[in-house]
Amino acid sequence: MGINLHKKLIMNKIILLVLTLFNITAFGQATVGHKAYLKANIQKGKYRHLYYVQSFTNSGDKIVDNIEEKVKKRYNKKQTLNKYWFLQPFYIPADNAEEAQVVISATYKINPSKTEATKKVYTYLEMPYSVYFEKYTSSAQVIIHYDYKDKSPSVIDTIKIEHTYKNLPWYPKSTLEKLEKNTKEDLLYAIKKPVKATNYKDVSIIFPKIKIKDKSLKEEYSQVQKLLKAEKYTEAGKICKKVYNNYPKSLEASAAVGLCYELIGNYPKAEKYTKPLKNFHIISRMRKNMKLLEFANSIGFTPEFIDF
Amino acid sequence: MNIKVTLTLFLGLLAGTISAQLKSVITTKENEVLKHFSSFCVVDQATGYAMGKATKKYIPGKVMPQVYFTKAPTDLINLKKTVVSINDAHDTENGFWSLFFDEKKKLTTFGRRRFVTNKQKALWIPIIDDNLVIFKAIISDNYILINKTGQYELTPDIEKASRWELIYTKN
Repeated sequence: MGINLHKKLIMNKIILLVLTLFNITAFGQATVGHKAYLKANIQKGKYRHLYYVQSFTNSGDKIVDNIEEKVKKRYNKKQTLNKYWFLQPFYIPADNAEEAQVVISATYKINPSKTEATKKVYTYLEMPYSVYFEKYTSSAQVIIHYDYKDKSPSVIDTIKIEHTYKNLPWYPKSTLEKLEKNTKEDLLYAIKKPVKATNYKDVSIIFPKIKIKDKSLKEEYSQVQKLLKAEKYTEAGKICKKVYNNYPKSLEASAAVGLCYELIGNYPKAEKYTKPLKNFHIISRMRKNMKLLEFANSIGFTPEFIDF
Repeated sequence: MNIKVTLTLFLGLLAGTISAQLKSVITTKENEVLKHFSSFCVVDQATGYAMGKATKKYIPGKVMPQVYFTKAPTDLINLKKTVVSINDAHDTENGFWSLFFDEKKKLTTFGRRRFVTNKQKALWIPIIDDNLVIFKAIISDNYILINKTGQYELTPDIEKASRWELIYTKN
């Protein structure tokens, strides 16, 4: 018994290790070196980030009263309650936007809706009976912008909350107003989460390995990582495209071009080039990107796409 | 987790969800005495009247008259078909009210009964027509019909008979 248990424990550890390794080496995943980042900032003497919550714009009809103040409260609460502050960058509120290192602003939309009654027929002991039910949905979509003073590119984060309810007779009663209230509350909780005051110089983006026979081209491709760190995304993209043109059958080369497109915000092309690789992480991320684009279009924002 | 445990948990969950959706159409005699009715809003498709001691035009989402069905022991009646009695689910303070067949007037009315009964006057054979139900009296070849004013009648013609939809609602 004892030996078997010991073996099981070892196996569990190995599985966990393998899983974490996979997680780390997923293509195109941005990882932040927390320790290095903190060390560098401590040396500079500025491990604290000043943030400022700017006015939130509402693109729908439903309003959340004093959303900015509530979000500010949540951020402040997070500082005092966060046990792991030493692992994460430390934030303190700034008095105004000019003083702040990170300026947080958001666009939100709350959309409650109700479908028409649909009928479903059940039979019990050959006796048919029908049930009529409506479907209530209350969704909240948010785009949060983090603008940095150190000229690093602004980060966009999205939140989507959706509450659904079918008024079937065997469920407890609920109303659309109740759902709307729940989404508003959840929205406030969700907004406090993604504070990412990441310095993009510390972010490393893993690119897929490509088998390149041509030596000069191989050397050129090895420069891509450096170019990305220097925020020269279009130049990196040009090299990736050159590799792809030479090896059009390489799925990895196609994905590399797609990742470059993603970095400059050209999501439709990014999706097109990354699709053949069939990487789960990339596919799910692309889906998120496309949803973000759809939402941006729905509120009247049409971004211009850059090509290389 | 053990495979057996997961399987039983999964099956339990499945059974739970199915039982939550399926509602027994027949109320047992014990539940009737305890007033735990498995009641339905029974609506005529032609006129839109809901069945009950006092009929009412059906409006979705509003409190409507409801009825429940009790099953008669078929061995006593010597019948192979399922036979039910139709009872009012709301007016239960002065005993139970069931839908009776009046032979003299050739009419159907809700009459009061004190005890659980198997009187043949109060027994009806449900005939299923697609997703609707037609009720036929067992002592005569007559079917329940509701007229435009919301009163019960009897008809020997099955095509003229009211086709009832059993609706499972919250109230």
